[in-house]
Amino acid sequence: MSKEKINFEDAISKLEKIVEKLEDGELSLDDSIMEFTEGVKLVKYCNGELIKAEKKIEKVVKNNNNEFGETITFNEEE
Amino acid sequence: MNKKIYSIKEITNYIKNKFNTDKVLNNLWLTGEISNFYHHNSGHMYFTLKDKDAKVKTIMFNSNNRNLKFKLEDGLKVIAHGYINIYPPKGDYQFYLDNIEPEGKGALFLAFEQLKKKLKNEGLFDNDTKKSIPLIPGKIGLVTSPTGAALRDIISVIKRRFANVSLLIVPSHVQGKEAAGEISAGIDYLNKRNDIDVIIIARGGGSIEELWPFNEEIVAKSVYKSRIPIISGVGHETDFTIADYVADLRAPTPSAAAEMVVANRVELKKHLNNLFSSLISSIKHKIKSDKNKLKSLAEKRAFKDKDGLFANNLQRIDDLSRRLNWSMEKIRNNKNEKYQILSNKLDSLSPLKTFNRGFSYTLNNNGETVKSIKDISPGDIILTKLKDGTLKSKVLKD
Repeated sequence: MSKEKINFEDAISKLEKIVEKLEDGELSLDDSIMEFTEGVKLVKYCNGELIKAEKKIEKVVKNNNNEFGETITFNEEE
Repeated sequence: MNKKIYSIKEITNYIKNKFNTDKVLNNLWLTGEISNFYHHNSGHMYFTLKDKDAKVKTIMFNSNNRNLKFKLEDGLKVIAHGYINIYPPKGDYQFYLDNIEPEGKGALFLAFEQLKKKLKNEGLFDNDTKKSIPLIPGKIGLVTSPTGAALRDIISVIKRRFANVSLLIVPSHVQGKEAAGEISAGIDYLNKRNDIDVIIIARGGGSIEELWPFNEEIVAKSVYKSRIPIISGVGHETDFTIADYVADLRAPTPSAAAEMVVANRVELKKHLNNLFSSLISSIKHKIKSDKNKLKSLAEKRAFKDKDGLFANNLQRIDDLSRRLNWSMEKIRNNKNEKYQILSNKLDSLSPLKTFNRGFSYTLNNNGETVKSIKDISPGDIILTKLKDGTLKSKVLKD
């Protein structure tokens, strides 16, 4: 994978292109292995992005000046 | 004879008193068309109400027109309530208007149509300025009522889908006169944070009056200038608000807005799974077809070597292939395991590591990979690269 910062959308479309190239079967074994290795890295990255997010429900509360202030955990029983 | 002589003021007041005590003139509805409309700096509105035979001067004071939802303009047919009285400085009688409705359709309907037309002309609905919704937002900013049905619906969708998303609720009124300003401020606030990937503005179903804040210009402007993509989920499927037109994506309901953000993640997992399988099967296919080529190459008598080198290699390749298949089966049988584990296993199967299992490749004297029997001739020296070194061989005559 390139060193530039890559986002999920780009990684998926890159992965799609790699699969397409491999399925074409036109590549040499060396190139196939290179693409495959890159593909595995992208799968790992995408998977990481898919499972990494936190699961929090919070709400913003206003301070005395009626401005948005701190963020607190949202209590669903409220 | 005692002539009573009135001053102008006196007679005007006399007439005024007649008007003041007249039942009809003090409380009446008029129907007519607006002309010569003029909105003075003071906030008061001056115009003429007319039909084809007559006209009456009309004034609508600032205090009465301040909460007018729709815009008055020449040609508009209206039904208006007020009273008629004298304006002494000019000697005119005029209609003091305090309540006005467009004729035929409701005031809110007309206001909606007017604002829609205005914002459309200003380009707020243009598709090319709409932002795309990120595929896997990490944190959603939600502007809604903390006690409303919309919030409950959205939370339950997110829980049901086991979505790995965080939600930041910006509490806001979603009906009443405070609401539009609060919704707008909520959107602006979220834009000042740097951890929000997408914004949902939401409200459960209600009457057109209750949904009205989402039809106000201040909300439309905040939605338009938001740098964060916005999904609107207001009311029921059949309710369209101005905010819906300006938003980057309109969801028919609050739940649907949550689905649009969360469903993505489920679909993407499937998609990634498919790509992953294709990746594996295509490389397996490649290895298999290269193996077959090698096999047919080895069957040529030129390669029937005494030492059984090629035969051994072939056996190793078969073994490798069996192990690859076995590992793939194992991966497939463990579908319930997390992707992370799958990925790690896959990595261990990478052909880069196959050297460890006896795979080799062959170079000619110039260091080029031998890919075909046509690349070599009897008598050539070939180099076979193995895990721990290089084997140098001479190609025998056929």
